[in-house]
Amino acid sequence: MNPAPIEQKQIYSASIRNKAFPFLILAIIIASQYYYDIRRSERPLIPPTIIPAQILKFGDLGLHSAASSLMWIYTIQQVGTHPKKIPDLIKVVNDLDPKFGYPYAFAVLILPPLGFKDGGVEIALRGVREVNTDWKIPYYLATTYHIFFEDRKNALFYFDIVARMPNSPQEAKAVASRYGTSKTVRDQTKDIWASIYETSNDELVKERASRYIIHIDMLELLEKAALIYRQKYGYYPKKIAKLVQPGILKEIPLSPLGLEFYLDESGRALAK
Amino acid sequence: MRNILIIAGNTFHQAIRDKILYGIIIFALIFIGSSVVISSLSLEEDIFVIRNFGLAGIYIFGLIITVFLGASAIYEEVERKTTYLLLSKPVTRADIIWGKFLGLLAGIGTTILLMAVAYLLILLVSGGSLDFPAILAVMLQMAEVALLLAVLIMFSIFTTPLAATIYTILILYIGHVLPLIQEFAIKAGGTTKYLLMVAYYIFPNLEKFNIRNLVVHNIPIPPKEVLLSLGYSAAYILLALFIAQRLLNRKDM
Repeated sequence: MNPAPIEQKQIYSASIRNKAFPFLILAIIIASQYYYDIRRSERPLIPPTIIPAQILKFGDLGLHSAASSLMWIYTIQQVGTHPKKIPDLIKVVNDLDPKFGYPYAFAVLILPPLGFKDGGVEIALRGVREVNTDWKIPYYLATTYHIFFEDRKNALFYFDIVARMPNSPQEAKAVASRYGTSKTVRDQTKDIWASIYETSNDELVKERASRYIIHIDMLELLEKAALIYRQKYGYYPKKIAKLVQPGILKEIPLSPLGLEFYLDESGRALAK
Repeated sequence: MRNILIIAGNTFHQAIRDKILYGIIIFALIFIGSSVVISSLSLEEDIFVIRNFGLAGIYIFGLIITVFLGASAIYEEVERKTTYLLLSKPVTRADIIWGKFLGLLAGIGTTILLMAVAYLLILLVSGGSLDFPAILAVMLQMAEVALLLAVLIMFSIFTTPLAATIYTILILYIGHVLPLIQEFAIKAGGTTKYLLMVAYYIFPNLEKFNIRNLVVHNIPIPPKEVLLSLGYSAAYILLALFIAQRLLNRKDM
């Protein structure tokens, strides 16, 4: 005997309820996660905890290099949010695996602009000792000596190491062996950044290199504009904004490094 | 020998039919595969990170499978009384121990081989080359796993699977921190030094089998060192299974 139509309707709606129930629960789970994420973004960022490598080594079952890789990925995530913690985090990465070369090179190139000139150099010097086959460490170290310390002697010393390394790429070798022979320091700096841009696959490093190249291009542009101004008026402008008024430049470019351009008495463009 | 091989064959079939094992293998393959995603966050060190995480995955999941398969090896046989059935035939207790050990080792070896193949394929697809040193690292991992399995079988004779698992995990942990214990002992001096040095020599030194940290940096491994580690593993297995056999002989069955 067939069930009555009302009974059939009840069975039907119960079946729909049973089918819909898991989806309803799933929707609640997704909504709660979504709400949690919104709330979390409102919370202040918690600074990373730095656990000494010695303690990590006690718990990683001998997988020191894998632990170091994991720590490295964690470190990169902190560059934007907690730059002050980067030197200590990189130290942990290399205490776990002293042969992991890239963090040394990264540190010496990224830390000086963040205000850790000495910290970056200290890490790189350790890198040169520990990983003597990685050309990037002495190359980036020489770059830092050249740009941030204006220490040509040490820059030359480490560029020379790169020029003699069999595995360094041609672009780096060329810059390293030409170091000290370019007309101006600025030309050298531009050459160095261009070679770093060409040889790096690291987006962060590439972006920084391109910023420096654009910055130098802007300095050159401003100096050319200042020269045109002098040809027109017989003297260099006292203020950089004067380059805009006679229509030499549409506007004063903004440095991608966040610096402010100015001109000295000899028409040389500088940044502060 | 024939008896051992028959028991080993049966144990192997029993082990690879376990559905939980498939679950663990699937998780292991997902973990090894995910190293590609993780490596993309590492800036320039993609291959290095894939090699690191790949080998770590093979190792960790290899250990999980070893503990999962080995913990109840003998205990369940005794509990289910299937050992009685075996012993009623011309089979010695030593045959049971060695048969179980070899069968389980073959099962674990098969799963580790599967993970290693997945790892090598992922590395090739990601632009790496055929990682021969990693094969050597996996071989030494097998020696470590075999040693742990022997210890696990020894424990599983006189204790429950849970307790055997806990003891083995402790042995595993101690085995990997032994070099640090040695360092500490040298610094400590006096009686502490001697006590720690006794522990250092008695516990299995599992760091002997860990060449993963060297492999990922392409540092050559002296063949003598590898042979010495394999010999060490063989000696320890012999000792653990000998004790296991004596314990089983003492058991009232």
